Amino acid sequence: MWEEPNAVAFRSDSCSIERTRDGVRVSGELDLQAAPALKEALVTVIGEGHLDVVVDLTDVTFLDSTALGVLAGRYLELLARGGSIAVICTNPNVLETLEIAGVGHALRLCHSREELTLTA
Amino acid sequence: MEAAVLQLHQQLLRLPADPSQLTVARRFAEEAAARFGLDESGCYQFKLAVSEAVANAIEHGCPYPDGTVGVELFEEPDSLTIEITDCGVFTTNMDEQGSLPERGRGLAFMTVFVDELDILRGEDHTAVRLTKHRPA
Repeated sequence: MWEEPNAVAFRSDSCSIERTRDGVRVSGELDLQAAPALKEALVTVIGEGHLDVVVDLTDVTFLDSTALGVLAGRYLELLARGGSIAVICTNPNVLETLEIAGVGHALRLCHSREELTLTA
Repeated sequence: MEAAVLQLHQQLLRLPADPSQLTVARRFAEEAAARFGLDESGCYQFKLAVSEAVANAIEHGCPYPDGTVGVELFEEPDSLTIEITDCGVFTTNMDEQGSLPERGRGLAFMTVFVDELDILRGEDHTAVRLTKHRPA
């Protein structure tokens, strides 16, 4: 059970993943090296019973196909339970990647936590 | 003087076949793309395609006997190419079905984000060539 605020779930030279109240917050570059930790953290969040999971990518500067696959996989898991996954992202390159991959419609894309609250 | 300086740019990386080396490959690709004159978005796209190809070589390929994969840069007047080589037979994770598979997007990303993608399969090695053209 998650108790400590923003407990670090993963840290490397290029990426860190922290737990938040309702999901994870990632900083840096999300690639093949970090994707397994992202998956593990999100599986834990979902396992705790969270249905509306928030993935904060505000400080993410790079996202590859393996990280995108982790998000798509968790989206399907949550969809089956009647839940959702929201992604907070402002980096234009990362946003372009999400749109081109065709997951823009599946993930609730927001630019900030405030926007997420307004559209909830 | 300028030509001499250009020749100092490293053209070939041999990277240990480990995911921790992806940041090195990306920096190599991004710096080459910036020197070549691509805009910020073009640099990112080139970097992403190279990262996907190197990740694919690390995950599904077979490294050289010294445990590395090759990342080689070719700068032409009108095009920029990076070739990723290993000793494996080219394959990607394409076996998952459904509208939102969890894996298998790497090749699609390479296709979308560069102007040319060539996969050269030799008897004992694979080369993936990713090329961006100079914008008109």
